[in-house]
Amino acid sequence: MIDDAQLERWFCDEVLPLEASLTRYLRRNWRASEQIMDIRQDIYEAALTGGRQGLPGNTAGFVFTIARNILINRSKRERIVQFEQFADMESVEQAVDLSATDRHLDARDALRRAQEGIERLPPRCREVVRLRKIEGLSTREAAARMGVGIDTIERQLVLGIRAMTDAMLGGSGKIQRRAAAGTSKVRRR
Amino acid sequence: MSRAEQIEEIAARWIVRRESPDWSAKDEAELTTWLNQSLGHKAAFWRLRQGWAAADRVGALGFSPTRFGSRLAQPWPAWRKAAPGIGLALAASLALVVGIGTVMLSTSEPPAPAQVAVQTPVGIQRTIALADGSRVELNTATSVRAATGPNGREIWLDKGEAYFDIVHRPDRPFVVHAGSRTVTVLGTRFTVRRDGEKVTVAVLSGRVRVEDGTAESGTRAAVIGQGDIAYAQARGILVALAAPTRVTAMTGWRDGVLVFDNQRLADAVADFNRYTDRPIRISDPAVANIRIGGTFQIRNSAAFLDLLRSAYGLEVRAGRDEILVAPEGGTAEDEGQQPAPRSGS
Repeated sequence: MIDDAQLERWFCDEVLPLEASLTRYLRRNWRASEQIMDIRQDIYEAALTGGRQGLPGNTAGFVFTIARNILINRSKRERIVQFEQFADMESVEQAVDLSATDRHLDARDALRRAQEGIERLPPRCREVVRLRKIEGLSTREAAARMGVGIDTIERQLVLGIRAMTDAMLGGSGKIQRRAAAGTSKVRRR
Repeated sequence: MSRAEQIEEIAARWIVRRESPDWSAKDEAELTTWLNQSLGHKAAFWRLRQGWAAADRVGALGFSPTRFGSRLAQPWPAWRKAAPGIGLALAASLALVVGIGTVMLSTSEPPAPAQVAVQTPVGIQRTIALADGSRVELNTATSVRAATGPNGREIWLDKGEAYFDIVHRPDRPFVVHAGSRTVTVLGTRFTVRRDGEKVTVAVLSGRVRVEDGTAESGTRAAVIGQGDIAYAQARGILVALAAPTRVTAMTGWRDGVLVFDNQRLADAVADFNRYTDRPIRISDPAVANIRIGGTFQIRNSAAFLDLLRSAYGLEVRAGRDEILVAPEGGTAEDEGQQPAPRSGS
């Protein structure tokens, strides 16, 4: 049995760097784009469940095999006509190859992702992230600085954490809930 | 919000709270309880903690608050390269034919603004990003021109199909011209498909106004909203209200799939043929009228043909320039005569 600290280190060092190629693989093989996040979440949960019994030697092969099985089970459940899609092991191999490059991101790539991620944030969210990450302000201090309520800052930070994580892992960095970013100018002090 | 998004939202809230100075041992115990509820919770929390820590690099960027919003200040038709559409092979994107900076003169609207033309060859899709944050995704065999002028932002869809995700600017209306039809954007996401003079507009969100410039009175216009489809044909504009399933099916190409729901085989085949130089032909009118449904990958027409063979018992013969679909056992007589007129294209 693998303990949590080991499991987390493996998950962060070996599994998460595959996220960009894993997401590409899912998008190629699954038509309903709004389900991709749920599927990916299922894959991560299954990977942790398996990893807890013993860490695999080939993490990429392990993760993409889980992905393929989950897609097959889902498509059976939804009775969708998608012939031959998953039988195509070649595409799995390709995805695994691609992942090798993802794993060796250099510092410049990470910086580029950070830059693109922050530029895609809505202005208010970007300012909150900047105050937190660059000036190191606490939620309370950021609220005072921007003249808004603490809950507004917290809401923007939640959006910022989600979007920046997506960006740093090679995703589009898009925020799903635009509505929350628009709740502005409440409780000006 | 999906299940995964809900978990992610909760996990992100934990991270925010944990960074605050008044984080207590009791809070820590609550977090541990939540994490131990499921490995899915751990996956979401660890992922965000890792990603958010990695985002510390923004500290190295040294950007200043004054740069905020500068993107909007750029002149409009500065086309930027965007990430290629989902599912595009790298090789495919290398084969793109892109005419950037082509200047053409508009015959209809002096003073003529500088236009930028972009084309995609058969089988290729491409995403272009506009400087104002709007995005246009071009489907196979599509050509558009874009310009900005006194009338605002304008795009001419000369042929093919495109998806628009438009940032609303009250001072800069966004107009799509498809032949004699114009689509005026009221801030939205929608697709326009042009087959000759037949124009189909499907709206994913927001509202657009579809006008027929050929109408003498100029009053033939329809405003349609989310989930609606407008079919503009020679005799006017037909509107299908609240057809969200159909709208989703019509935008499947963006994810590399074609979605059919009880459609004539001839129409389904015509849709596949838009993406290839080696078209599928149907030899028999009865076969053309078979109803078919399902989701198919655009790049995998073999799976589609397999379905025709195995589920419908049709005969599929692959030739050099085309693929012929015929009723089973019809081979002998077919070979002696001309194929029946095909329909659908």
